[in-house]
Amino acid sequence: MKRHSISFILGTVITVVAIIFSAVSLVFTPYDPESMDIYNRFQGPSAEHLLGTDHFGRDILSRIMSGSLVALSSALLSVTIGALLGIVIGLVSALSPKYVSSILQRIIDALMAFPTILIALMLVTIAGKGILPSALAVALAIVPVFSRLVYTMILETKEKLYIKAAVSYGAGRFRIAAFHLFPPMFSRLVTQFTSSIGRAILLESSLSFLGLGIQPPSSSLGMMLSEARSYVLTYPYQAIPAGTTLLLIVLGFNLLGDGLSEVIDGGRRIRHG
Amino acid sequence: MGKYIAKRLLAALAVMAIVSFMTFSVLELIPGNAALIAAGTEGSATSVASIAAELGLNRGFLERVLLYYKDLLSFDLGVSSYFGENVSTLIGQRLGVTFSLAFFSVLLAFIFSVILGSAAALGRGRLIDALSRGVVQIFSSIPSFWLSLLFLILFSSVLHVVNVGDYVPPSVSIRGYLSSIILPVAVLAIGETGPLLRLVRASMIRVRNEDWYRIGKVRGISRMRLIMAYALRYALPGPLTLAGSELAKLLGGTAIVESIFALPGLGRLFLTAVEMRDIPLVEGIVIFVSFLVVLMNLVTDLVLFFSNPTMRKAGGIKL
Amino acid sequence: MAELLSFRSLSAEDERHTILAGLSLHVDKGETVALVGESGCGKTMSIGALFGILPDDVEVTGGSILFDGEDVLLYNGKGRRDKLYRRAGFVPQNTTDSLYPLMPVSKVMTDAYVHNHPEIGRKAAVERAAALLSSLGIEDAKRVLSLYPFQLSGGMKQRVNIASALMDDIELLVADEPTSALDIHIRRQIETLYASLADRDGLSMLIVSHDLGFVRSVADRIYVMYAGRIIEEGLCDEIFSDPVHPYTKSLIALGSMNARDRNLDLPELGYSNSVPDRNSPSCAFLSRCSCRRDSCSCSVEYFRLSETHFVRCVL
Repeated sequence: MKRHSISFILGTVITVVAIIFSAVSLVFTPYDPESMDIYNRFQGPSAEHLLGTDHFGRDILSRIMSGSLVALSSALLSVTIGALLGIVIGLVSALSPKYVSSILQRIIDALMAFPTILIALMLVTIAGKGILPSALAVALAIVPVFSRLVYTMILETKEKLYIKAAVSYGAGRFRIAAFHLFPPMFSRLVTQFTSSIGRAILLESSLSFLGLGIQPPSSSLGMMLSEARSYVLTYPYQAIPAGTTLLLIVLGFNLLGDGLSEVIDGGRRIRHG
Repeated sequence: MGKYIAKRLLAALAVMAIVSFMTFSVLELIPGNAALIAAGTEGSATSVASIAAELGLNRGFLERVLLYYKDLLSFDLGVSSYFGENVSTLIGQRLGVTFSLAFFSVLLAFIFSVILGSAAALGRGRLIDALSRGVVQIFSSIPSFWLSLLFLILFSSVLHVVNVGDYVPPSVSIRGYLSSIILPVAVLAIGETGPLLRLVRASMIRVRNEDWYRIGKVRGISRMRLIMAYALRYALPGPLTLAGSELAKLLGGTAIVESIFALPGLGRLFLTAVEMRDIPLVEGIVIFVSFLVVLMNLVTDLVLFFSNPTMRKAGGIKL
Repeated sequence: MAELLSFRSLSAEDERHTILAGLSLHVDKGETVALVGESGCGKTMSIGALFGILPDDVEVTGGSILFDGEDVLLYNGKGRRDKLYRRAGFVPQNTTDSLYPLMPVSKVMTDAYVHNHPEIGRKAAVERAAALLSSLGIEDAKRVLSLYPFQLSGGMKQRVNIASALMDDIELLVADEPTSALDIHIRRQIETLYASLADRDGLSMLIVSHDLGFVRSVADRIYVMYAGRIIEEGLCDEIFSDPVHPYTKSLIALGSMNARDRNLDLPELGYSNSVPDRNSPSCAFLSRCSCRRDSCSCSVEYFRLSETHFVRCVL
């Protein structure tokens, strides 16, 4: 195992802090994130409001805390749905007869051909705005990544000698899948899952930014930035806290995903010669 | 060889059929059918019925699917219910702006990625590799809409160098055109650099471990030539393919940036269509962009196939 | 005779292990020298150090490599190209992936040559390549030149690699395990080919191999390498008819094949065991030796048995 992976350490620290930071909002926020105070609009950072207040005089720190929780939990939901669907499609298409698998692969191709934002907007056209349609849209964007990953990994592993050996001594399909195919895939799936969370948070926040995700008065980071947009030239500070938080959270998960694969691959690297 | 091309073409056609079928049936699910939406809240029962008849909504699903494919085959994307114009005309009007954005941003990202990625993978310095990995991580973590806001704040309100909101077509003034797209192009390019740079670096690291790369040096080929004539040719097909499909995808992925920088492109047209629940327009744009993605992938695959003798012999990439 | 190539107490290590522990050997002009030893003893690494193609994590930590009197380790880029690469050729162990796959053989063979000799045109270079291939026993050289590397058979790739190494008028040819991974009948052809190259005027050879039968047929002198250093050297006859070091003896007794593969009377040596051995002055072979004594764990000198025969053993 590689002793030091900066990505891994940094990613772990940021994600853990982000998770704690947003989880705390369940029991405590400095102010009610939805309570307005029209007389104290557009405040800069101060002792009372650590990160200032927004256009309704709401406490930005409190809103960021609860907004992060929305971002994290909806990303987790989307990635879980997307990963499960993707893994199932990948498994089925890798293990079933050729014509089934080529049909499934074409469907995945089709899914990949849609730009993500278009899928999301299309879903919103059907199902209306809200957190569920947007989570579903994000999940759909995640599906192809996982199904491709599982599909190629299985095809690669299928050719490995130890699988052929297992088949030759009569191990059943299920046994091979459970004991021989899946374990080596697990670490790569975990890695993919982690970095997909970063991607899902980005997508969800873009949808919120367009006003298609979670609806007011709840807050999400994307929506906060969408509100800040109206005041971007008069009160530019409004765009800073939520944006920075968003960047850091996404960065944290991306670094963690990268670091995980580094740590895992580093452990696997074999010297020869 | 012909067999591969035929197979590849068939696959692309199949994907397009699936794409269009998915789009069509998903939009069928819309609560309150297209005629009701088109007629608006004040529409009378008769006007709804006549619009429904006009749109062919009174026929069965299968019949409509067939009609829809017949229209598609004759490149007829229908009429926008909001604008009252042909969908294809509307797309044509807006495509130029979006294409400019997509093309220049992917081009910039590609050049930047190839230079930095090769230097990171083939160079001896650890620093440049760390730098490129940092760039990948940060660039793929920045939300494009936030970056747009930051750019607006910096260049428009602090430095006063760029005016936002007046798109100038290149036919009027090249300078005006470039300055009206430079910020959104920069934002999009940064977003595209993440995946491209990552792939270039990975491909180049693979090259570095190839026997022919190490032996080439021993044969007396200069390092520069080894990189320019050997390594790039070997490693770039992958990143080029990615750039191609990203380019096509970006045609449908510029909505946010276009709306922030007030550019009259395809993305904003799409946002309007969604807002107005203009089904034919939504459908038309989705089909148009995803077909382009499929075609682009087809083209890059074929180029890849013809440029690689090993692959030509082996019968192409496995589908 | 004048020295062409000389390793002077070369050391190399990676993050965890010592790989070369003061390797010294030399190749005289016109001479064919073989370097033998089991897998993992550092044979390939020593060639890697010479040509600057060591794996990323391996570093030369001391010593020098003189080629025609100049330390090639001091040169980089163009300097190294002129001093070494254009005067010494290399045939790697794996000849399958060593030819650039996207160019026809004609271009693969001539590219470096054409660029290093701007006065010679591409056409003349291709003719030279064809002549070289014919001299290596390829009958339809023109056709081979028009093929892509993946269309060549194993023996053909081997020859194309040798021919590529010979494109410049080189003084030294280094071959890494030239006979491993070849079919038995191709192996015979390649062995004959190397034997004829050994007789070429003005060409010295350094052949790394664990195939003792082959080594015996081509080499003038032999170095036996163990755990990163030379433990015995001598003329071909001296080594084969009068081996002194127990390791050399068992290698020859094992009938040429890789000792570790056969694993007959040599007990398996764990990699971790060999690590301290490479740096200590005592005998590295100690733990596997059947005739060890107390004095083996003291500093073991390199004894001179004759003008040409040396051994690192107390016997």
